[in-house]
Amino acid sequence: MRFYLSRITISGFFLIIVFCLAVKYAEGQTTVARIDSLKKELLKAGEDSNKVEILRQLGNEVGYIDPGQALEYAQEGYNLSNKINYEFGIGTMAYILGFLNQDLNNYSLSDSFLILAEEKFRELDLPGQLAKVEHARGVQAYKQGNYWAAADFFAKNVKIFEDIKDSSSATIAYQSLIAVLGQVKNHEKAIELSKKALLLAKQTNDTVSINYLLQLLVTNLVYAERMDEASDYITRLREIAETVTDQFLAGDLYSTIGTYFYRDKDFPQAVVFYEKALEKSILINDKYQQANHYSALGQAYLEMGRPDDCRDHLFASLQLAREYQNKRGEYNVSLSLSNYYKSIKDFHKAYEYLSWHQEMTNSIMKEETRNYTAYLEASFEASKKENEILRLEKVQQEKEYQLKRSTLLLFVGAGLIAALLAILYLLRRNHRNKEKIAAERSALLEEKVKNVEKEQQIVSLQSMINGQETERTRIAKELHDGLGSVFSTVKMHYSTLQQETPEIKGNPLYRKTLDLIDKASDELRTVAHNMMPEVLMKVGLVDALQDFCNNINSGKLLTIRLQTYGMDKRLNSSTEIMLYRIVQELIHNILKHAEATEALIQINRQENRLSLIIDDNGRGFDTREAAEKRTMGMSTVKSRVDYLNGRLTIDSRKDIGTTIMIDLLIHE
Amino acid sequence: MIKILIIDDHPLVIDGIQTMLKDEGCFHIEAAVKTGADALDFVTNHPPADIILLDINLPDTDGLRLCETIRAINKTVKIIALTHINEAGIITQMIKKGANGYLLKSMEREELIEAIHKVTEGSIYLSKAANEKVIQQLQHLDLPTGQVPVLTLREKEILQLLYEGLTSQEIAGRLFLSNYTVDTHRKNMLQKFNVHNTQSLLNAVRKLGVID
Repeated sequence: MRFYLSRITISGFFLIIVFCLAVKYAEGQTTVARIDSLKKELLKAGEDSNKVEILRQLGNEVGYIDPGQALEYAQEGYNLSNKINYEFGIGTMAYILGFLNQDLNNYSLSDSFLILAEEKFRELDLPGQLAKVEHARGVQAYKQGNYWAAADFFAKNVKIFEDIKDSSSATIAYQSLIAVLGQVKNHEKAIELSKKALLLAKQTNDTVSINYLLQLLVTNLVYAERMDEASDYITRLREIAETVTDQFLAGDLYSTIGTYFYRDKDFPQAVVFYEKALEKSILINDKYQQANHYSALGQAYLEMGRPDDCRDHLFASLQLAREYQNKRGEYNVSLSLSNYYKSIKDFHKAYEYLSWHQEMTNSIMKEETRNYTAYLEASFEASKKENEILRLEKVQQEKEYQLKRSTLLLFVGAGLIAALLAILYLLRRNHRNKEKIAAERSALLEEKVKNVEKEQQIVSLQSMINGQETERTRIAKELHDGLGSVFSTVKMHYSTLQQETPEIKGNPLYRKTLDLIDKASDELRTVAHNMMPEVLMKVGLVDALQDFCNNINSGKLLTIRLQTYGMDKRLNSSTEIMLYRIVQELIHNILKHAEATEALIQINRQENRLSLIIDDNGRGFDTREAAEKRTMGMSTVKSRVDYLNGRLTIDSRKDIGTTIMIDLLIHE
Repeated sequence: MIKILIIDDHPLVIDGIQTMLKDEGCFHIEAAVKTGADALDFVTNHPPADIILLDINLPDTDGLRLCETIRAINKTVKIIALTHINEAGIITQMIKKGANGYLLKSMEREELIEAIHKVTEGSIYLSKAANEKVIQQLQHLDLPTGQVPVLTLREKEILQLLYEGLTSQEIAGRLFLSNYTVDTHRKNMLQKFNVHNTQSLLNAVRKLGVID
């Protein structure tokens, strides 16, 4: 059920973007007549920027009727702009080509055009246009399920639009940001932003945005379980749904109201509104939402104790979801079906659907984690690059300022010459900077390709490491069960012998043999323990690490403290083993190389975020130099971190110490 | 007569225990079972034993869980863990779950007999090696609850700069770290001091005197 509503936000969300940007570009005229008059104008136009403008409008207008044909207009406009060297035209047409390709699901082509448009607008210094391009890139990320990246793009949009005081565009960017926040389940923040954006939309009297924002607000309120607050809006949503001409919005509104009642456990009311939502989605032939609404109805009927109605609706949903490759829909309905079969006590079927659901959970989660890691890395790289760009711009500004001042002090003639020189100098400088920035951008792209390659490596590595740990567990168990049992039984019999034949006690060989048996079983125990500590399997990571620290501490070479926060629940066993091995290897590295006297192991877990920090007061090292020296110890750590889809940061300073930080997302 | 139930899936070990106890008139081995399920069946359907010798590695369950379950059914029976494992984390968990004793399988005959007597009298008995492990753990036990969290190196520096009024971004620039890293350190500190924003973090730290 959790994912169901977020799907609703998506459809509402796509609608907003496509719809609102269209209105902006076509200035509110979206009629066939308009297209016809544009076509006539096109015939009369010469090969100039005027024609580009006509082609731009055509690309926009036709895009909502026939994206394929629109693509042709846009391509023509793009070629013409290049021919007549019309910079603004190149940027705008690239932008239109970008989002048209997005509509046609050509993501890689769309990406290239959007990047091109981004560069052009940056060169021309048009923040408003730039933000629109960024917005389209956000939508792209969103469509591909990369919500974190999308959130990042949208947040930047909001800021740019606010800076240039374009409040109607800011309202749109807010809506996108809110939708994506809902998707990553940050409902509180989404509520906060919805309220802020509502104020903004009210100022400009933008009814369309107000209606969408209300839908987003209530959806998030329901999900944040702020039912009282949500109930204040329900009547209003209903009024809007009944009067609004936009059938997409009406459907989404009914669905939101239905979910409100479902969550409020008023199932008969929920059914009434889900039925209305379904009716709307059939009217506009939206198969995607139909699947979702059928599934919601099925769930509501199950709660009402009407299993037959439940089954019919769930299967209708399943069929639609499969037919239209609605993966999330399938994911939701499989769980509901399992619940249905449980309720009619067909446990075999219930189990089947549940395991299918589980399988899909894994694949969806894996995808999300990959996206998140890629985003972390990309944003980390981007922030480095951005700092560098900012620095370059600042240097340039300073130079500019100094030059301006010196020209003031010179005679008019000399001043003119100086100004001319300065302009020439700046132009050259500017050009060089741009080249530099472009080179950095292509490096970023290269990095993206590398990321993809790395992911493939990770998959094969994961199975290798998994196999290794399974093998270790098996060997440890066999040592205990086989050899271990033999040794202890020998000792049991042998020590009974002295009871039966007391004179044997006097024989020194007897004592010596007994000691040797002890030694053998101790050694066996140590080997098995190093293979796989029992406490790690049976009790958990924290106790295992405490044991590990105690063992090191009793050696007196290094004192380790262990601090854990939010670790009351156990993690899944392969994650625990991996984290344990990472700590083990890092501490052994410290013992071997760092000459440290103290170390600190800290684990923080908050919801699904986990960070592991290991910190020592050793001699530290230069991270660049050490890249080669310490690779031996670090490479296994690195591959284990990769296994967990985590991020490893090494932060070391000479003679101060080293901090190693590993962050990852936990899935249960 | 002290009645004993053995739960262990190694025939060799059962044989060894029988050998050690055969000359002691006051012990009687009631049964030896190989799985957790058989053990529970015995405990619920037969007259109660006085002593249970319980292995921690069993084919169908683990001794920690089984110990807890048996303890829930029968409050008086004395349970002695009998195992190869000598790890402090397991020993303390076993006692927490209601075991009365902890013996290593590499014990000598006297130790087993002493353990059974001690436990019957109502004491807790740990074998010598197990005892050493637990004491070692107690000696190094850090941070009993309520004590002030220790700050890592970077956390200290970041706190200092937060004090001086720098933003996360400025701190990242100053320390040559990424924004993301600084933010993780900051979030970790919020959790450590159980506060929700930077201002209350600074207040908490000042109150506890963690930083000068």
